[in-house]
Amino acid sequence: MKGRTGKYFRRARLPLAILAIFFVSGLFAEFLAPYRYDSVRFDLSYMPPVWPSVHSGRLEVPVMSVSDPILHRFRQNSGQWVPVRFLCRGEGYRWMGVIRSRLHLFCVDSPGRLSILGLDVFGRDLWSRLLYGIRFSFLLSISAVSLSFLVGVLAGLVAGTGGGWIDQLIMRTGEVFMAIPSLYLLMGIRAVFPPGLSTTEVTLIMTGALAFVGWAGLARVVRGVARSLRQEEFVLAAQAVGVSWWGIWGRHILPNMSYYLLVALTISIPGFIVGEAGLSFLGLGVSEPHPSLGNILAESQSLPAMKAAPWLLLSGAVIVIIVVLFNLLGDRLREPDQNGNAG
Amino acid sequence: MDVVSDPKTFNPALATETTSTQILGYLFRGLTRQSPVNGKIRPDLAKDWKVSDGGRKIVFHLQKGLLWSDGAPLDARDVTFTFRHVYYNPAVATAVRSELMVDGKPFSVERRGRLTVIVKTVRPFAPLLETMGVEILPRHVLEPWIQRGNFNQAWSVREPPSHIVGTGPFVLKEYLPGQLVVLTANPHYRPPVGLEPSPGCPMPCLARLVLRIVPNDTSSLIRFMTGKTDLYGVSPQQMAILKPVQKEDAFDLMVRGPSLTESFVTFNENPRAPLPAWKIRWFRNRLFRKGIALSIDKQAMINIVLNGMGEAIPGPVPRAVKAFFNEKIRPFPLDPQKARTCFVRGGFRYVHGRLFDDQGHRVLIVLLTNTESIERIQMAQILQANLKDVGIKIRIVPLQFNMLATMVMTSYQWEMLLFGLTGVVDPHGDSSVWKSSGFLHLWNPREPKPDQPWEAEVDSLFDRGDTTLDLNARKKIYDRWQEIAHRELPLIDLVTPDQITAVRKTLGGIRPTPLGGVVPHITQVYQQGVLTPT
Repeated sequence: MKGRTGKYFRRARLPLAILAIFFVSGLFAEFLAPYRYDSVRFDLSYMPPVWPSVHSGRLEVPVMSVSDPILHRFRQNSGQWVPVRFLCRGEGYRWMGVIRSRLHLFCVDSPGRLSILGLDVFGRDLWSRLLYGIRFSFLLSISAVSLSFLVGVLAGLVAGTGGGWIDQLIMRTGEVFMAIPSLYLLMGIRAVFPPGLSTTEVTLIMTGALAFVGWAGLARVVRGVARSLRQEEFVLAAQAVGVSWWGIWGRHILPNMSYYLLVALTISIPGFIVGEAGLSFLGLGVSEPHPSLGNILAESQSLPAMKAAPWLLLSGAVIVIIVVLFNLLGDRLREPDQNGNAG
Repeated sequence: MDVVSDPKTFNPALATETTSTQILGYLFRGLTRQSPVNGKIRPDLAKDWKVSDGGRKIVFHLQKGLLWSDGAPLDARDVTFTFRHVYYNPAVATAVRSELMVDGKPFSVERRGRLTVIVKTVRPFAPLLETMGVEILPRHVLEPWIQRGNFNQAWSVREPPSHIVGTGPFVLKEYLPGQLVVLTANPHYRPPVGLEPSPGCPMPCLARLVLRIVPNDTSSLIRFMTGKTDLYGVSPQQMAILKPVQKEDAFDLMVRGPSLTESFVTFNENPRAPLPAWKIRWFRNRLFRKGIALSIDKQAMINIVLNGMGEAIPGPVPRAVKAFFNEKIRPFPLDPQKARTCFVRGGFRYVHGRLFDDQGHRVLIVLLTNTESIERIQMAQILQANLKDVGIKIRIVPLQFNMLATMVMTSYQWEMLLFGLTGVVDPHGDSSVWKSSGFLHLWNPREPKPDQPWEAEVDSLFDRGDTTLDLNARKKIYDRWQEIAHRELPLIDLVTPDQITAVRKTLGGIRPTPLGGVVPHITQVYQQGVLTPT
């Protein structure tokens, strides 16, 4: 069993590795980002990326200032360079809201500003905000996926093994949820709650809403598999010797469908990431200044913003990359291996 | 030219929203008009007037030979009809009526002969001449509607265009809902006294005006850039796009100085509001409001929100209104150190850089603004960062306009509000905001009696300003009001954008003015050459 799983994961090595990089860099956003997500520089609105270069023997960044505020042009202040320091003390933060620290992987002293991917309208560092945004999107979608899996698997098992009116009730309810376009359903759920909630409350609501929308599809798959497994001899045998339903689910049915679940999991995560991004893009998700991939993208939706700071569209690229990677991961896991064993 | 939405009506008495009023502005005129250059009152349909009886009586003389666009003559009977049977008719749902009242009483409008109109008021009323700019309507067309009692349905957007009869430089030619409004020159137009035509061209000079309905600002920007329109109102943010292509797309960007629109933050000082009592105590504390005013980085707002094209607002009278602006009033500078001192003097204290009141409540404020305006949301975010520096935590809640209006005006369930109002030229128009009984007296609407001594003084200043006719005396009265506003800060003013219009080089007769846009007189505009497609 273990060897098989290992083989599957080897096959999906590439997407898995890249996703892991995304996840880990999001997880350590505070450390990898030189600035906090809400650290503003009003004088450097829409500054383009300025990469550090070797200057007088050290890695340094030039100090920039605005030369044309209307066209967002910047110039280097002549002779003003600040060195890039590594593993340095910068803006204070609490890692994951718990551990207090000031340690950053790299930073520069004011008035210099590191701008790896450019700055947004308030002079906030896009690189830093993307890292925080990736973490938010990952954590939100993973928790929403876990929640919807819990509900979906349980509902599917009950429906699939129970049969009869329970099956009818659960599956028809699920179909009602699936019939409504998910974005509208999400917006509707969000609208039930008053505006002006704190970020934590919004996050919880969004997790709940995404799970609420996502469970039905999974329940349907699980039910199908559970129904076919129910006819298998080993299940009938277990039933005959009086094993409880919980025992049958835990020992016989779930292990036999674990593989389906794994694939379904990888394929449904991108749906949740897009769902979160969509809500935030529409202003219904997490509110500024807290970044998520969706609301960073929303900043660039007007023509002037797109012209002044095309780099803000990178958050859209990140969404696309993550979604593609998850789908690739799902595909790779689903593909039959070389020996022809179907997954 | 593009307009943002469909007109709702072609009836000047019923029009309230800007698209209708913009279109009707080309079709109708009043007895007087306001000079777009300095805000002074100039003749329009009336050729002159005489004020007598201490300002209680004005005699207007109409221009001779005026014709409606269908060729019928216009005389004093049309004027009396317009006031008596339309504006003062309780059965007509007009928003204009309240402006044509003094102390709740209508003006008396009489005629003498064919060309003389006498207007009397119960007491001297300073803005009277300005209010006489309301559109005069044709009696011979609209009287039947009044008699049938269905005037509120008259001249709807379904009316055939030729039935809309006016005195303006243009007449309605065609209206395709959702697409466009076409106006053509009015053959019977007679320009007001003192307005000169552009050389070599009668008034109006343009034969046709096409207004296309484009609800999305980005699409109308693109339409302008591709040469499909000739005039476009530019927001400062769009300068970054338009400025580089100015030459190749053959247009001028005309900057006309600060606009009249006012943006501000205000606090709920209403003792009847359903808020914790201590919060209302903060908001009623003058030093608290002053501290906030000193913490706001207006330059950052100008640079970021207005793209560097705007200025800080000093007080309630826009700087563009030279006649009433108090030169002594300066915007509050950014001074966080002084702001902290203000808070401490106002009874607050700092613990680890965070602000607490004397009862130990952390200063945390919910700031409302409307979602429709990206500019306001950005200003709110800058404000949030500014106030964090002085230890105040702000939570921004953008709401849809209608919801916001309900919370602010009806349920009083708000703490801090970032909002804007369109400015007015005559301070009299500010009375709904500044008089303690006013419905837009946002910080404490519709007070039964002035709640604070300075509000009582502002009330009496506005009453005096209304009845004083001498311009210098009025200026002194409103100067005093601006000083009080600057000291008490019920509204903390933020920034106002420059007014910018992009005008295609093929248009002539364009004169940028601070109050009337780049086209103060549409009649003087002419076409010089055609844009050749490149």
